[in-house]
Amino acid sequence: MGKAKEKKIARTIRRNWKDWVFYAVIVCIPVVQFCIMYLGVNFNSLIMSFQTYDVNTGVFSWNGFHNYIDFFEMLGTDRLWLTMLGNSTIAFLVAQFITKTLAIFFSYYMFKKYFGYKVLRIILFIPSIISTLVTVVVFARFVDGALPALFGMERGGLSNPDTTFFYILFYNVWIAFGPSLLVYSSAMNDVPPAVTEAAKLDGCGSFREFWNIIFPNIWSTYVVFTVATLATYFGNNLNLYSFYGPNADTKLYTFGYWLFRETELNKATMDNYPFLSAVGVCFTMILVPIVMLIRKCMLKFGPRPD
Amino acid sequence: MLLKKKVQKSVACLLSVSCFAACLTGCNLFIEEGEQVDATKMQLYVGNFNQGFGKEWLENAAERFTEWAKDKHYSDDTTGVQIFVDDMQIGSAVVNSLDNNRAEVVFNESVDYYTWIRNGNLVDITDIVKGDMGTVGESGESIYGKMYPSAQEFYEYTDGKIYGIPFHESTYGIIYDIDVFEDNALFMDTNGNFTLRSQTDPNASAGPDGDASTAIDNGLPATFSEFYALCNTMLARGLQPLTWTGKNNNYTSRFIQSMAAYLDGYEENRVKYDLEGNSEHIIASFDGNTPVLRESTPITDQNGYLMTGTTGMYYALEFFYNLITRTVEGDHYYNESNLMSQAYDHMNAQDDFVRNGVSGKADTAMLIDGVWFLNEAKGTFDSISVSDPSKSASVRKFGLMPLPHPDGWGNTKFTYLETNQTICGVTKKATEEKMDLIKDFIQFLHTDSELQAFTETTSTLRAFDYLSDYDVENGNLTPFAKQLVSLKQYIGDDVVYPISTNNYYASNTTELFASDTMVFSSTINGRTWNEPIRAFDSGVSARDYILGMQEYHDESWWNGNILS
Repeated sequence: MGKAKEKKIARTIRRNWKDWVFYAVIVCIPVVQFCIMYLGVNFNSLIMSFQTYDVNTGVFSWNGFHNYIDFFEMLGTDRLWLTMLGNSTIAFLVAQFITKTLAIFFSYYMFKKYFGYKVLRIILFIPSIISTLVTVVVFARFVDGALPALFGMERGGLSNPDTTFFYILFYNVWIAFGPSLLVYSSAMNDVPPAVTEAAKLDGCGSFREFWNIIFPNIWSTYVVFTVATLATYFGNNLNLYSFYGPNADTKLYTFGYWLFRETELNKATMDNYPFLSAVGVCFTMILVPIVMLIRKCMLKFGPRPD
Repeated sequence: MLLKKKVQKSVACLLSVSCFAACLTGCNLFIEEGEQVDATKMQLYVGNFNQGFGKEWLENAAERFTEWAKDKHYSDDTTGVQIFVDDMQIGSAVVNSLDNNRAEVVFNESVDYYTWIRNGNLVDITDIVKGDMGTVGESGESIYGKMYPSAQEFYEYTDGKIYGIPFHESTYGIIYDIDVFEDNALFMDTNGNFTLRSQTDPNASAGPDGDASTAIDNGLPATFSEFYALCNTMLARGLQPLTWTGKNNNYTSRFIQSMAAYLDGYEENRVKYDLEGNSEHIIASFDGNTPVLRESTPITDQNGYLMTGTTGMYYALEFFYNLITRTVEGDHYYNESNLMSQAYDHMNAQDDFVRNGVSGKADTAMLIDGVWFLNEAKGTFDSISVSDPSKSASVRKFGLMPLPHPDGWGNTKFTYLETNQTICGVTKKATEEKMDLIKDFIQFLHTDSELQAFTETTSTLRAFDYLSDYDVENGNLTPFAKQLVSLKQYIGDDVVYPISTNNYYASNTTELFASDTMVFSSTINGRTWNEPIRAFDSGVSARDYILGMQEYHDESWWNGNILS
């Protein structure tokens, strides 16, 4: 960097020092958090995946690829992985195709300012601003307490092993509306009014307007949400911990719940952490190329506003 | 526009400051609201797991100690003490974050003792535990002398120092409403009929131990069949035999675990936890539904996994299986809508049980819960006794039921499994200058009168020898506490403490004891279950469950998880 340029930057900083201080105050916390919680944690996980921990001495030592070998051996022998694969996939599909579809339709409903849209917006958004533990208790009391009492059912939806997973999914659909509603509504509001008005003058109905004008315009937002959903494929615990703590039925396990539970249950010592780190690294290696590919395909082949 | 920008900046700054302040609050830098530190006194911060046992006992004890020590000079510039009782999270949750807590003395449960020591959470208190208690009025006594032998061994760490002592003693079991039993003549006579209104009736059956001179179990079912007959009789008389939480399945798992300890007996449990000695109870196979046992098997560090599949565990599973599957004309022994209901937690179950005779619903005769239920349900007792003082906890009669044994077994003396891995210890927050105060405080809390005061306040026990000479009739005890003390006096030293100095056990208490889902992991047809109640509800038999437990906890599991 030339001296002249350095001087220019220094002058700019001196002149606008208040703005720079403000900028630094605002940015420092997220940057520190990113460094510690993302870079530090993930780097540590990567290192740990090649180590083993001695409970008696509290010392980590290098262990080669043993944790990875253990992981692949476990994949081949433990049927729990199949259960988790099935549940995590169902959870992803539901989030991707049911939650998102409903969220987009409700957002469109609000965008069009149809009857009761303000009330609907509040009702659908409330679960997102209330603590998960509270909504879980309310939902559980409703499904296992109120519903059987109202309809004379012998067992509640969650207590009946045949319907538990359905209700857990239902809860997750209900709870996931809020943030998507806000973002999709906001994206829809960015569509130039002239376009929708012109379409209306041309006799375009609501469905056609949505399909040919609105949806292509919010496609990039939809891609972001899809990528985010896919990226949490191995981390989605379906809020099982909020429902059951570490005691969820193995039939309900997802990868995310298993990982969280194993870490939580064994947190007294760190002897299980290296293995779990190896599992996490493997999950990342599987997921990253898939996410990148899908993102690229969606952006390339998806609808365009023009 | 400029104004808008300024407002935005102000709001952003405010949010940043709030965020920063929230972080500081989390670091415990602020004194708790309403606290007034008296600089003329020495402060002591005590952390307590304020759940089933509450904190009333500790606040009362702290008050008595404060009075006792009002003229003491623990430092040159202080006279007397000031004690702050803080609520703490459960031990397993704070194991890695105790530094964020200001507590210098802790009373907690679910504490993996050896891990706490390795993590440096606790300091050496050998001097406090083994020192003479003359200062607090019990000359010639020590806390160590009041500890049970297994606890003396366990709490003395491998370096010969003591870092903690037990806190309370508790178990899960069947609590029976003695008032309901009396009102409905549910005690069994010597002919096997449920006709008596009192356990002390001379015609009462001798109970599981077969000894009529021990009234504690007289009139109660001795065998599984008698227990089921009792439940059938209850249903016929319009009662709900049992209830338990549907939400927290660990309650039923813990109950099975404690029952298994009783059925296997004290000696067999010592083999299990010490990984030393011969086991006579290991199941080799099944002949129908009858377990075929291995010959006497020496248990060592290498084959401890064999202790997963014992007869005691099998019959405890079978007993519970029958409790949830048996019906009389379509009626279960429990309210089916509560089974595994997320809307029915342990407090709801306690409420149903405690409100017998008040709620207008059919009375519930028995509750599966921990012995702390009475203290935990204090709020309910207080509310119902406002209109009817005869329904208060100090009047109502409950008891921890000595459990039945399988049909065909000989007489069996009841015991139970201490289930909560408790601790009283001193953290590294305690400075050297406070150690005299801490010594007096801990020793004060372990004088016989304070141990008895704990029982009088909480209606539960502490894990020390202070009951052998305790006259229950003279004590200020609730009827439930009287029964519990009498039961403890009856059991004597045979209470099973799941503690051991065996390094493999002590280093893996989570897998081998503390985590009920790990203990009860069972692989059946490729599927892993971790709660018996779920499996039984789905049609899995007790026999398949225990075989699955053996399959899950096999040699490779042992080598990979315990010995590695």
